[in-house]
Amino acid sequence: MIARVLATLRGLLRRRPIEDEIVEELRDHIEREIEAHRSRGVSAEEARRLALRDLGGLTQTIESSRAVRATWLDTVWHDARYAVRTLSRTPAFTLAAVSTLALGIGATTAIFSVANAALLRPLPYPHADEIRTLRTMFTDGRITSGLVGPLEMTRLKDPSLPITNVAMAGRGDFTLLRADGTPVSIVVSGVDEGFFPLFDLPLAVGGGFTPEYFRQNGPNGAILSYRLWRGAFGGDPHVVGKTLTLTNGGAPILGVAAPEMDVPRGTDAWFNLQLDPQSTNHGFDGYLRLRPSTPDSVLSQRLAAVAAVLGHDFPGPEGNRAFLVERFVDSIVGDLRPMLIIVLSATALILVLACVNVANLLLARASRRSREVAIRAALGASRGRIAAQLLTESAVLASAGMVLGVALAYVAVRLLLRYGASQLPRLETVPFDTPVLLFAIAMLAVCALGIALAPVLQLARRGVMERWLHERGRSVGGARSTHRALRTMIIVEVAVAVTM
Amino acid sequence: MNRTQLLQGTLDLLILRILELGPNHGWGISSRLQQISQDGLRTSQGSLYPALHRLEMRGEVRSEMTTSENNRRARVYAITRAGRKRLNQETETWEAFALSMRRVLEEGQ
Repeated sequence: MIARVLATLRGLLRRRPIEDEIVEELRDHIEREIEAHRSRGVSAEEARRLALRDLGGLTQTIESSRAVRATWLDTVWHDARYAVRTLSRTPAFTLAAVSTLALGIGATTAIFSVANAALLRPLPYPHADEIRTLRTMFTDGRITSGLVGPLEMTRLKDPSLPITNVAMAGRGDFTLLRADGTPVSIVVSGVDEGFFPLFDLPLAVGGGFTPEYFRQNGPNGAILSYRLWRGAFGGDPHVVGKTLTLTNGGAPILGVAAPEMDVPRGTDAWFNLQLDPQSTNHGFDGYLRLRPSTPDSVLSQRLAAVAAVLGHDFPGPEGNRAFLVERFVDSIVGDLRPMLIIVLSATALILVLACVNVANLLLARASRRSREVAIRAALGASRGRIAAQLLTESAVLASAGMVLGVALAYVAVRLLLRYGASQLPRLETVPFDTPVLLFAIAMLAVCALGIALAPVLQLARRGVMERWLHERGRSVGGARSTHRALRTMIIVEVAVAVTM
Repeated sequence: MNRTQLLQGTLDLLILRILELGPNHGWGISSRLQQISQDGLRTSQGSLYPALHRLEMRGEVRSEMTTSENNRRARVYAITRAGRKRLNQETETWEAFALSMRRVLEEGQ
């Protein structure tokens, strides 16, 4: 088995055409045979005649050797070149088909690249799948902000729980005073001691908070976001030790966060919070990191038990309160997920429409090409062989459509980002990475199969080849079966259009 | 018995057997075959090369272009491990077949 694969691979890596090698081999054979005859005293001419006679038909030998050596890849390559030649002879048809497919593939790829950036791309934090956001609610229906308090987080630090880190952050809008006195509105988040260790990204500049910053009456400090550092401080490498001046106070700058650090979303600077660990003031976003490979059901059970104990100990603020956990990525993306899925489905329908239209064009062409197919069939091409050729042709069309479509998608997404989509969570950048390209290739395959389906099915129907032979190009509108196929396509198109 | 028509499939077996003796080129294989069988077996040379290429595609022989004495380029074939395995199997099958044939023919006398 392995030997066979290797032999095929060697065949693929072969640089020279098969024929050359076979001819060279046979020439060697004939020369040796002539020599052998000559050494027995046969005349040169007679030796040559004998050698050629013994070999049988030379062309036939070359052909049968070629047939053995040719791999399916040679066949595909041959068909693809043939398809390119035929398609370039009908530029109007080719242009229409390729641009229709390009629109379909481009639209789906563009939307997929957005979905990929928002939903599939991993978050920048190490082991981000272990991170959960934590909120609270009242089981008796009373309204609450859903925020958490220091007392609850203190209880969650119990080492018997399947939790490795807990953290709190509170967000607020502040006004930054630039050196020249101009104000800038920024988002500042106060964070507790567990916050930076939980997200586990190294700072870009400086050392960050030490434990003393979180003690009552400890020093104050600020960590800048990478964005604020580049914007308001011009990326100053000696920014540590300078002061972040706000209209209502300020703090010495301790460092700059990693460029990817964006919790809570949109934060421009982080301050240290000095909290009473027993406070029941519910004013913070809660975060926790799960012990690796703990099921969420176990976490929920344990949190329910903690909530019950808290409710017993502090029946006023904590009575009837329950914890709610959410995967971190879901808390960021929020409502974007169903929205993106709807838009992606809608564009998938556009792709279906594009395929139906191109299949339509192909069918109309097929009825005009019936003569060519009939001749090939008469010359001994099997149905499978002709079907493979039709499939290769649609693959060539779809490939051209994909290349153009991916280029379109790239431009479209850049434009979309410029006009405001970058305000959406996780869409600051939309990369064209491997998943996007794989998706585009999958769409290519879907299109190639989709548009080849109708002509191939027609071919597969019994008697179609014979009818093609009889039609002999005198029919203008094509066979009745072609009409039926065209009608089916119109039905599909109207159905899709109505759905949209 | 002269110029026996080769049974279908036996050509592969013969080629593998000759290559087991050592690597050889196409012409060498065909002359070796005649020589060993004392002219009793003769391959049509037209079917030898397609057979060699088929064996190569199956990975049972491998080939290499070599430049031999007096600067002539020739394709030299050698048996592979998969080829030896097939040769052993087919030799057994062949011997069993030959034995059965002989039994039947001798019984009939």
